[in-house]
Amino acid sequence: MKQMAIISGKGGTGKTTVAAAFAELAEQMIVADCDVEAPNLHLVLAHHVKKEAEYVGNQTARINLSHCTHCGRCEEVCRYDAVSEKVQAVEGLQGETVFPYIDSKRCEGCAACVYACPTQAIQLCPEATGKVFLSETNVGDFAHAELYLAADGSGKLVAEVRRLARDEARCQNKAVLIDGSPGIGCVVISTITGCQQVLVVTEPSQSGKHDLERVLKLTAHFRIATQVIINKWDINIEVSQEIEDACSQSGVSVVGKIPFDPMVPKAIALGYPITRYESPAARAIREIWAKISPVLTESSGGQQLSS
Amino acid sequence: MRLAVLSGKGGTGKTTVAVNLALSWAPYRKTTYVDYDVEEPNGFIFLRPQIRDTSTVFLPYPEINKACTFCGKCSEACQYHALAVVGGKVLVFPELCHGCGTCGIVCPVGAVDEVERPLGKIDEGERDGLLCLQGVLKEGESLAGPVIRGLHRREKEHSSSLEEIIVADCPPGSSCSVIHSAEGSDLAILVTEPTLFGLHDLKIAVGLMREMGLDFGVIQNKDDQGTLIQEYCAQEGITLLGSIPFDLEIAKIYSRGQSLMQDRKWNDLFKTLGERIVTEVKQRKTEGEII
Repeated sequence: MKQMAIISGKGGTGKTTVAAAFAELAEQMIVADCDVEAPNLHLVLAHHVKKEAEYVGNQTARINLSHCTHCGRCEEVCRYDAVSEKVQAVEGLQGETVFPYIDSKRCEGCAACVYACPTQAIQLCPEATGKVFLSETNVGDFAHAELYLAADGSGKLVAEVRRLARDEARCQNKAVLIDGSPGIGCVVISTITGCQQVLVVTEPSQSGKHDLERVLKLTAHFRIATQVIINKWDINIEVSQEIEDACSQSGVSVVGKIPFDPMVPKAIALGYPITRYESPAARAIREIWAKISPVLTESSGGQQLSS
Repeated sequence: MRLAVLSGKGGTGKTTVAVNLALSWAPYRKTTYVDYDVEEPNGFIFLRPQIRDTSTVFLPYPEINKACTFCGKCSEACQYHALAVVGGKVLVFPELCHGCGTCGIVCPVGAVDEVERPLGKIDEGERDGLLCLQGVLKEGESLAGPVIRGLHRREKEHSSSLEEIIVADCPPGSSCSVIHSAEGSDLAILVTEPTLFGLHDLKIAVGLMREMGLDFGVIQNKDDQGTLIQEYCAQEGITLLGSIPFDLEIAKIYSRGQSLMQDRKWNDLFKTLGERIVTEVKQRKTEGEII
């Protein structure tokens, strides 16, 4: 089963526009939205939810204050500044007293305080971090998620969305197309590990170029075959050329360039992939898809690794 | 005062707003720009500060010494599967380690020493009196948190009064990285764009601010004269702090990695916006004190 992820480094370069278009051109693929912190693909893929489940993807420490002797060990060992002193009312005790308090937004669930506590007053408690959905669209099944407000652990939620997509892909003998998130940290790493192919959508700006260079180092580090798309390439032709030069120097191919096209935001506003319309951007994306799609349908091997 | 610039959706113009506001304030008050988007920091591309200090951010990880009896307690306690005891040997996987120190706490014989590995860096520089800080996560590393925490500590060394300004340019999304970059701010500036995607992610950012109990206002970037964002803000009772027009000229200046302040028209726009924001924060502070 083949998996391809679309990422960008810099945000707002057009990942979701490209992903939605590919989903429609491919017709039968499992699509996964792994930008769980700011998901947008569901806005341009008409879908209805078939299955939904809550995902318990985190654990945070909680203190049973009636067992606490106020020794201060938990605060001492916590490296995330999650434990502090706070005036609290405790069951079984008269009035309010100062006791340790664990800020669940800071707690990383590392268990240091759990093991350090001499009276076993602290336990790790599982926490639901979001919901995962499997939806039906007219171009195949679609896995997506909703991260609960201020919940920690988006990397794990991404892994859960991918697991759901992979399971479906295996059953249906299909490939997986992933719409990723900006950045290069844990969420993006969780999005691309195990993929045969990464597509980086960039834009011709100094920021886009800088962020692309960092993403290429990331995919080289994980040895995943990578190709680049320059979106809105004609906004700055010089920087586009600089990006092409930089790519060819590092042995990464630019698989296509998409022109600036006012039809793109219009299609988004209407809630459709751009490929529903005859427009310069849609034409460019179709050409790119024709070049890329064989990677997803090949029976084995895939592209050579780029480094 | 501390101002956090964030957005939910990427590419809406956080850095454009943060950089140009910082430049608009710098001639009049002590201002610090801090780039918390440690995965993809871009502010320095536009500010081009003279770097005067670079420090490495390290993360501790365990090294097992000869006292080890291979009891397996460390590997059992580690929540990140960074340790494994296999046939009279302890395997350590530094890239999985979060540096929490739990293995050292549970080891009954003191066999866990801590060593450090570089995770990223913090740069400090200056441009025309504007103090500039940025955190940079090393490519291939997954943990942005320790770099963000290190940057927070550094920012606090330059801690500000209400008259001084700290501008925190936050990462996109709505994760712990955003929370840790934004917390402690007097006002969060949510930068959005008038698209379906922009509005959807603005709603997530608004929810996050309310959950955190942080005061916030909205700046609409790439304003196309539509009413999408205005209507939402009016409905929700959210202050619209200002708008930046959709303009291909701005896109071109941006694409070259230049600040907008060199241009008279945009200079005026950011100065007005900057004054509006400072007034807003002071007003909310006084109101808060009265209440």
